[in-house]
Amino acid sequence: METIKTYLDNMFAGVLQTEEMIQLQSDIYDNMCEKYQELKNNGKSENEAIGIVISEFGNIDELLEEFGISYEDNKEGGNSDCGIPHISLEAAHEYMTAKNKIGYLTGIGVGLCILGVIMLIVTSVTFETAQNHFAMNMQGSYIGLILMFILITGAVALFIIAGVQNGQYEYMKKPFRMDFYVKRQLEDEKRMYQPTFTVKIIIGVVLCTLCPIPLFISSIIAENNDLVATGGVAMLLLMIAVATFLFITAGLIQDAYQQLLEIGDYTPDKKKTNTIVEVAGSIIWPLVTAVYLYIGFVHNLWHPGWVIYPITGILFGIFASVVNAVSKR
Amino acid sequence: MISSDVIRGYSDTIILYLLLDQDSYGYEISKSIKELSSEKYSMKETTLYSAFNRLSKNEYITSYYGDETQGKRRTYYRITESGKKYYREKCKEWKLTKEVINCFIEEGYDGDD
Repeated sequence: METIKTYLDNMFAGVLQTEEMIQLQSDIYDNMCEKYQELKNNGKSENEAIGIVISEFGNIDELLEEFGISYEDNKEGGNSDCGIPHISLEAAHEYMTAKNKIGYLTGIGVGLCILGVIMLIVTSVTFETAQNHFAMNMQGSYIGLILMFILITGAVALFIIAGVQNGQYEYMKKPFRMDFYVKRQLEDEKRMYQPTFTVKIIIGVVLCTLCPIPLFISSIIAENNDLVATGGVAMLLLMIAVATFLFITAGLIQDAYQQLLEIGDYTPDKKKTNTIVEVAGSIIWPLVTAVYLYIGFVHNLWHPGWVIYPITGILFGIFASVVNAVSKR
Repeated sequence: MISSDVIRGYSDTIILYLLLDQDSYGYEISKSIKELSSEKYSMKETTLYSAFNRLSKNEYITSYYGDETQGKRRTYYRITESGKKYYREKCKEWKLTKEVINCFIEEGYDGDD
């Protein structure tokens, strides 16, 4: 059976994998397998049976001609798929490995950022309580700030490495071609990955739901003790950091499979709108941040100013769905 | 050995004949062809599926998925009314062809007897 499959894959290699072609290949495969099985039942050896089945396959050109596909067109990228990259199984696996690495880099980066915030809170509160008499509050804050910036610098470095890695696979966002068997293989791998994905997401959600608990506990066991309360906050943030890490690593792998199989957000139609939304997003969000920093520093409106983020988020969501709806038509 | 050039013009006719009585699927058809021709002719997969495509395009046959209890879904083929009409025309055409060619075939010239 494996031999027949390999033979057919070779025959159909380089043929554009339309719905029609996949169905045809699968019908022919079933047909050949049945023939093989019957030959074996009639006492033929495996090699003989394979030999007969393959010798009776015929000529692929006859079939492609009938379906109006010329082999050369597909092989040399004649007219229709000129310049469309062809993704092999190795390339797909390489992409998955890279995405996995990018997931870890980004996840650790986000973790470092949250750890930085924890450091800032913990050090400043510790100094405040322990060295009250010497008026060293400020010093504590400075040490906390320095620690935070060191960690954030590390995170930024990780983000840059991840970004550069990601940039190498820009072409995945554009249309590409993939052989029948590569697609099947990836579908199997995606199915195998599903339990891991589900477990990671569940653990993440549970952590997010339970994260206020340390806060409650710390306020129950030690009322009015800043140090214990800070411990509670630190614990809360730590749980969020772990959850975020799980979401990012699991999500990126899932996303990469969807991208390779062109499902979910990556159907050929959606690929176009994704770029529009992405470009708009890359302009709008930094702009919003600049506005926020401006009204914060210049007018000291940090407090009501933050609403600019949720408002932009909602407006941007509306914009994205409008673009999607328009492009669907 | 049969010249495939001659038979190619009639592969559609052969398939339609096998669909006259009942719907069928790829392997069953190719098996019947081999059996009915006493193993003198076996249709290649590519010929068979080219013919299916051609016949479907001309609406001489329709296809549907069978519901097998075990294993994969098979694609079944059914002959249409225009398919039957086309088959009858091809039968007439073959009779005529046979008559014409027979005029130029000398019995006993092939040295078999």
